[in-house]
Parts: sequence; structure tokens; C-alpha cells
Amino acid sequence: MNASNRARIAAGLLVLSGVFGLVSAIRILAGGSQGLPPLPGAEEMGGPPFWAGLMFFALAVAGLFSAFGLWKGQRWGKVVAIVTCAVNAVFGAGDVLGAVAVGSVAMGVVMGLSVLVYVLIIVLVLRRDPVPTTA
Amino acid sequence: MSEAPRSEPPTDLPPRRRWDGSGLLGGGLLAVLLLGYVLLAFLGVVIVGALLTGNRQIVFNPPWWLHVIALALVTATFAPLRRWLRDAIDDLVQAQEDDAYALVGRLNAELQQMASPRAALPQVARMIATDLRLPYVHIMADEGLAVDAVPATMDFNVGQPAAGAPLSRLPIAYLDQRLGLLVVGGRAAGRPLTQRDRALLGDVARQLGIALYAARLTVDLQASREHLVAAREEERRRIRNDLHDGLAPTLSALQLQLGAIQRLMRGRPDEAERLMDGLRESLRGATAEIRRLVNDLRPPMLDAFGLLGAIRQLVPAESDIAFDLRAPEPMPALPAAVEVAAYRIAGEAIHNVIRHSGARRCLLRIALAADELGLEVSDDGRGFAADLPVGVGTSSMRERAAELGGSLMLENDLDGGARVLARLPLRLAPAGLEPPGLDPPGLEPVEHQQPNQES
Ligand SMILES: Nc1ncnc2c1ncn2[C@@H]1O[C@H](COP(=O)(O)OP(=O)(O)O)[C@@H](O)[C@H]1O
Ligand SMILES: [Mg+2]
Repeated sequence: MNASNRARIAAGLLVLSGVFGLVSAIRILAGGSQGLPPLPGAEEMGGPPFWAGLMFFALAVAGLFSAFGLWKGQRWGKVVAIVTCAVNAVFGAGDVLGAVAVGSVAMGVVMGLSVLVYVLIIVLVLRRDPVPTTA
Repeated sequence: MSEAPRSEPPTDLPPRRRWDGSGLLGGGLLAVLLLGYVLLAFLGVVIVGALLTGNRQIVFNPPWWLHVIALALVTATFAPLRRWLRDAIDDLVQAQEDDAYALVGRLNAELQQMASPRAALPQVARMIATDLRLPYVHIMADEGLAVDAVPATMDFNVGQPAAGAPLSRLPIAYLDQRLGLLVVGGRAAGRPLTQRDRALLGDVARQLGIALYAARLTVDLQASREHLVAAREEERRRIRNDLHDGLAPTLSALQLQLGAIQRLMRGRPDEAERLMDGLRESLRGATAEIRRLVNDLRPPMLDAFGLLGAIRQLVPAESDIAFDLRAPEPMPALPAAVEVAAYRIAGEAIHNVIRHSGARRCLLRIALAADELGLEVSDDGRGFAADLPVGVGTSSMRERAAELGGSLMLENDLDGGARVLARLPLRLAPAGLEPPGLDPPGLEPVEHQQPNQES
């Protein structure tokens, strides 16, 4: 797998996660300043607050933006992708923790997978070709 | 204020860096990723701990041993992860692939239009330092070897090695010729060059090798051309002197003698006859003088016996040394200049074997490749002294080879005897002294056929 293929796979994953992020962010924002009601089974945690909606929105937009840059093989695309994915991964892990706390298996699995995807994107972006010698 | 746009700071200043914030960017990325990693690791340990113990409440207040496990995990993995991340980020941030290869392109342009390596290399060193953000770049190169000049080394460095940073050395070479060394200092202690750095520097060294090789060829060519002109001039002077000092007075004397004979012929024929004997003697002398002059121009042996025959004639009939001549027979027709040079070189080499070597056996070998003649004279004597011999004989052999664009090697065999190896190109440049351009066929690597390889 060469560098541009890796960049394209990473861009594809970023688009997927960006779309999901946008949808959930818009749902939170649509709930107004109260945010959303808690997920079923996660009542203890409370619903995501309004500011989280804003943040998810920003992260999702940044992710889509970086996907475009990655697709074009731009350096800024890689940089934005790395930062967005790092932040997303940490928040995702926090959500997994929350899911464990309230015993919500579905949310734990979904968020755990999303953390893996973000880490995978970072690795894809940073990975280099073994020994790029030119003859 | 800057009339010279390319004026650069003196060589020993650290390279001027283009500030584009990539150091900050790289540092920031590294910090974000490492921080993210630490958080992820901690959260991961707590999650796994909660799942394994089945105690969901510990996520709100993790017990001390989970902290210890998380700390141990992070400590164990932090250094390798940091190294990997930093190299990857370095490569990501420093330059994009295109930027990096733009360096190779600009380097190429710089080298193409250089007046001499001495003028171009400082600039090249600075370009490498600036583009790859290396604190220290040092180029050492041998200057072209003039025919008998001592090799001069060019030495340029930019910046100072960072304290404790490793130095990498890359040979600068072309074909099998070592032409110099490129030394670069790592960016900081404990940070070797990244793979991409090394690949790029490899390309840079290759390019430098080609450029230095071409420059060396030019210097050598210039030197041997000057030598050729000087040698030709010297030859002319010698012939003129010989004619002037030897033949001219002899001929004037002959004239005078003829006048005297004319005057004496009637009255004192005996006297005249005596004078005519003298005249014949003088004429014989003049003829010998002319023959000597002509022989110096081209050894008559060559015409009489051909190259191999003439070389056989060089070997003394009675000698303690057993000479052995191996050559393709019959010898094809060779350019006259090559024949003369081979003959003279063989003559001097044989002479040296007899005078200096103390050898018992001497082997003369001639080998013909498509485009060169190899002549090897090796003996089993005491060999050359440790330092290269400098004498009239050896330098004249060297000159004769160089005049034709060939080379002469003096070395000692493994078993100690002396070995003289001359390579004389058969395809001679036209007399117009055109520089043999680097176009094909000049660029094709010449397959040097070892003349001394049997089987
Ligand atoms: N075949 C040989 N074996 C050992 N030493 C040699 C041989 N040929 C040359 N030399 C050494 O190299 C020196 C230089 O040789 P040369 O240039 O021919 O000068 P010359 O013959 O006038 O001394 C010699 O003085 C001798 O010491
Ligand atoms: Mg001699």
C-alpha cells in the first residue's frame, strides 16, 4: 500500500466519521440549549450538553475539510486530520468510559470502534514507506 | 542594499533557515499526539480494569493500582512511540516529497552551471543545510588530479554539529571512483537522520559524484592539454637546437671544405684528395646526426619489426632476468602514436626492471580491448619503495600515457614485485584538441578490461 492509497483510505474514513459527527452534532444542536435527552440505558450520564454539539460540529467540519486536503495530497490535510483525530479519539475514549460506567454495551462498542478508526487514520497518515530509495 | 542577490553569509555561519514555522508545527503535533496517547492509555486501562473487575463504579474513582498499571504502560511505550512519531512528523512537516525533490532539481541546476567545484560546493553545502534543516553539512572532495600534481582537497562546511548529534558520512563516488565525502550532522543529540533524509542525501551524493567526476575530467583534460602543448614545444625546441647546434655547423664546415677542395683540385690534387676523405667523414657524421634526429621522432625499430618485434629488441639478449612477452599475435594495426608510446613506455619499464628491481623474472603483457591497449610490465623484484617513485623515467612514462588520454599505474604486486600498467586509448581525439565531450559515447561507462587477467 503506497502513500497515496493510504491517504485515500484515511480520507474515506474521515468522510464517514465526519458525516456521522455532523449528524449527531446537528441533532444535539437541534435540541436547543438543553441538549438532547440521555440515550436509553444511559440516563445516569445525562444527555450531551449544547457545547458538546458545537464542538462535535467543529470537529466534524474539520474532519471533512482535512479529508479533502488528504485526498489532494496536501500537507495541511495531514496536519488537520491528525489533530482532529487525536481530539476525537480522546473524546471517544471518554465516551467509552461513560458507557462502561452506565453499562451501555451498544454505546461502548460504537464509541470504542470509533476510537479505533481515529487511531487508524492517524497511523495511516503518519506511516511512511519503508525505505524510499531512488535508483 | 543587496546588489548581489546570491551573496551569502560566510561559510562558517549556521545556515539561514527559512522560517515557516514548521518547527513549531512539528512540536505542536508531537505534543498533541503524545498527550492524546497518554489520555487514551489511561482511559483504556481504566475501561479494561472496570470490565475485568465487573465493578463499573471504579471508572469514577479508579483505585491506585490502576494508576500504577497505566503509568507503567505509558512509561514502557512512551520512548519508542515518541521516536516513531517524531521521525514521522519530521518527514511530514519538514518538506513534502515535492519540496525535497525540488532540492535535487535545484542542486542539479547549480551543479550544471558551476564554473568550478570550488566555486559551487559552498553553495551546494548551504542548500543541503537549508533545505533539509541540518545544522551541519561538510563536503570534502578531491580536486582533479593534474598529470603529476599532488591531489588537492576541497573542504567546505556549513554550520556546527549539534552537541552530541550523530554524524552521518556518505561517500561521493562515480562508477568506481571515490571522489569525496559528504558529512552531515543530525539535528539533535540522539536523533539519527530519518529514512527520507538518508534517501535524499543518497541522491544528493550521487549527483555530486557525477558533477565532481565531470569537473575532475575537465581539470585533468586541461592539465594534460597544457602538458601536451608544453611537450610539443619542448620537442620543437630540442629539434631546433639539434639542427642549429649540430647539423648547421657541420653543413657550414662541409661548405668550407668543399670550397677548399675546389681551390686545391687543380694545383694540389693530393691535398684535395686528403681533404675529400675528411669531407666524406663529415658527411657520414651529418647523416648519422640526421638519422638520430629522425629516430628520436619515431623509433625505426617500429617500422622494421612492428611493435612486438621492437619490444623484443628492447630485451637484452644476455641478462640474468628471464623476460617473457605475452601479446596477441599478430598485432593488428595500431595508431602510430599508440605504438610509439607503448614502445617507449615498455623501453623505460624494462630499463627500470634491469636497473632497479633486482628481479629474476619479468613479464611483459600486452592486451587489446575494443578501445584501449593495456601494457603491463611486472617483475618479481623488490618493488617500488613505499612512496611513489618520482624520476625522469617514471614521469616520462606517465606523460606519454597522459598525452594520449591514457593512464599509467605504478604499484606493487601482492608478492612485492613492481608492476607498471599503462592504458592507452586506441580511439584518439582528433588533432584539433577538441575536448572529448561528455556526450555519448563518452558517458558510457568504459568497461576496463584488465589486461593482466588470464583465463
Ligand atoms: N622495477 C622496479 N623495481 C623497483 N624499483 C623501481 C623499479 N622501477 C623504478 N623503480 C624505482 O623508482 C625510481 C624512479 O624510477 P625512474 O623514474 O625511472 O628514474 P630513474 O630510473 O632515473 O632512477 C627508481 O629510482 C627506483 O628506485
Ligand atoms: Mg628509469
